[in-house]
Amino acid sequence: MVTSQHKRPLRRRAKAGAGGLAVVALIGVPLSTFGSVQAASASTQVCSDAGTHYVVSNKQGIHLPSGIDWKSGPGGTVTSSIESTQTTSLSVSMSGSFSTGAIVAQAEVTFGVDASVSQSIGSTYTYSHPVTAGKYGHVQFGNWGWAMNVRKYEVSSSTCTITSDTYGTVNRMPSANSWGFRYWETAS
Amino acid sequence: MLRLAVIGLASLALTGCAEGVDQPREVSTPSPAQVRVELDAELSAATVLLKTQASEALVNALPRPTVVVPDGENRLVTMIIHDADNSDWPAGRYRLTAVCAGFGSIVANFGIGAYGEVKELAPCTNAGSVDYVEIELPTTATGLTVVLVPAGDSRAAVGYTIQKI
Repeated sequence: MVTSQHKRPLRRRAKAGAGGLAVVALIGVPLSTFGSVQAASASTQVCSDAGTHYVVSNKQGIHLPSGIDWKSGPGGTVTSSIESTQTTSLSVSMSGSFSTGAIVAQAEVTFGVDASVSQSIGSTYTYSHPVTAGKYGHVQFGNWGWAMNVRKYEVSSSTCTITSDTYGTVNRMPSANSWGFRYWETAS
Repeated sequence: MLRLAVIGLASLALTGCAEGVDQPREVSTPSPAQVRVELDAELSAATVLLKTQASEALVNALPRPTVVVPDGENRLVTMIIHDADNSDWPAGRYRLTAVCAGFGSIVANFGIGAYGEVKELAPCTNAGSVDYVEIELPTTATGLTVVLVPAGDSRAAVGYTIQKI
């Protein structure tokens, strides 16, 4: 099948200067992919995407433990008890030097998540789960949050090109409202 | 039965209620309000009710509140109950029995592996309501998920059991 390939920017912003200069910028796509965008005249150039940009991707749900790992076995039933004094912090954790607030804001916009929480709740509740014969069961309370990849890049206002590009990982980002138990088994 | 307390607003009351009045107001720093929610009665009622249900339960999750005040914060936060495992569940029919004491409503998502059911449960009542969600596994499936989402401004205690029927 023959298709017509018409290449055009994913997102185009044109700001005309005195000579009708158009500056094309792409959000979320490396500018280097398309080469530098050169202005005809530096005095009339406007780069609408100048500044710092964050992009998050590959969101995955994870359980962020905030309580005791209740273990029982082999076989039988594992039961958690009341924990009323846990105060484990659930702050955002990530590699690299990124703005936590910017990452959270970007994730909330991109994925529609609500990450506006930084503290754990003060107690957990009784939960019991059967354990497979010969195995050890674990029950742990926590927050259901996310891990994701993050990219930070800077676009120069003078050249409208990417001047720095950094990749990292958000190891954990708590969710505002989702809490509960995770159960898993081990051989010993 | 529900007691939602907001304490420490006295100083706000002294300076407020002057909307539309064009005169100087005495400005004072409001003292921190202490928001707390007490659902002890709801938790007790739901616990008693849950214990009368599903005596042969496999999983037993005693009631938890639908709203909490996070440590160090001064606001109510809705708590979505989300429990999960990665266990193998043999083929068969499973029933989630949910109890809810207080007011509001809960949407339950009960799933094992690729099989699941979503249902809006019977409205919560002070004495406690009981409702069920069932799923049928034709073969062994891996991974239990129970998500109980409080709707709107629900103020209740919710617990559940899972049994094979």
